[in-house]
Amino acid sequence: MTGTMSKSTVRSAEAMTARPAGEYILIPAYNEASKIAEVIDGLAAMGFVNVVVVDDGSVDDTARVAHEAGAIVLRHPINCGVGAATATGFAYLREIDAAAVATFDADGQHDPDNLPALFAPIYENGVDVVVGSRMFNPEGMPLFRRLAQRAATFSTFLLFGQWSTDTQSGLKAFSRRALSTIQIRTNRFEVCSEIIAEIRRRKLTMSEVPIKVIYTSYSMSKGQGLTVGIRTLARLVIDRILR
Amino acid sequence: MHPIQWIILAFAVVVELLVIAGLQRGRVSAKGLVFWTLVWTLVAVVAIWPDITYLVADLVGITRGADLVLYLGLMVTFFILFRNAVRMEKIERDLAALVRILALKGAKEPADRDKDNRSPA
Repeated sequence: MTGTMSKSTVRSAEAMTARPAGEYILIPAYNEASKIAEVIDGLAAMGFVNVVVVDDGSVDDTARVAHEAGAIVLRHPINCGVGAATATGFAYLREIDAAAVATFDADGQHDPDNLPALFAPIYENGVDVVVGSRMFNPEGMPLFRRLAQRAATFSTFLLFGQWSTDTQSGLKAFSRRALSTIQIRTNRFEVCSEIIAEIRRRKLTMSEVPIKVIYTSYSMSKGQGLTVGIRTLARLVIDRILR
Repeated sequence: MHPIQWIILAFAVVVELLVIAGLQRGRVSAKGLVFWTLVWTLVAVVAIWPDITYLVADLVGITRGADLVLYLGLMVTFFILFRNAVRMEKIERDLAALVRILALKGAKEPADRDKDNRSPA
């Protein structure tokens, strides 16, 4: 943790409750040195102190900053993509027998306030995967993002037969069963659709909860553009053929 | 024979020689040698006797032999592109698996928190 408490830490301190043992937050990160400490700090303020950061070959100080902020850090020596980083995090969490995990973006677009509701269906109803969906309340979501999200959702359904209102959401929670069952093979952004496909393939249960995403110029600059979207779709088709 | 036929024939011979050299240096597999030899022999045969393409084109309902060659060439090119994309994907996945092993070996626990403090329940 950083030495001094930030404003958000102070604001949320009262809301902080002890979280269940073995619950982890997984953050794949690439060149996020300027933001990662703030993100980890915000999580800690909400009681989420078990944070695993997978630094995906950053050329800046992401790994060092995350480590000093109190996270467990795994480092890819080269950049492999968000899917590969998520798979590395899953492998580590399986090794330490984590009870539940939520994936969380490193660019500050996710609000830690959404996490208790995200984990709740796992603990209360025994659900395997909970998707944090932006589509229940898409207000503030840029039009391009909304259209791209719809296209991705439709493509995922066509290719893999599993419906979710927000396949591309980076905020998802997984039970121990899901963590041990889901096999991530894709390396890049197609991981979001692959996870949805795995839910169907492994006969896991899924539910969705509404989340609110914070769109800033910084988080927008880190998003997927049209070219990345087309490449992602091409890779998903290859993945579908390879299976 | 027209000059273009000589050029295509010479090109096929040169590429085949490069494939054979690749085999000797271990850069081309025996399976690859057979595949590329068949391809370039076919190219050479068509260059010497272009009328063959008219016969085959007529059989599959294409009027001109040159069109048949073009269509086949495009199909083969797309197949090779697709095969390369699949191979590239596999190489990337293998590389990520290797990187994962290194990352798991080097996992670093937090700098200033002991284990007891990390499980608030």
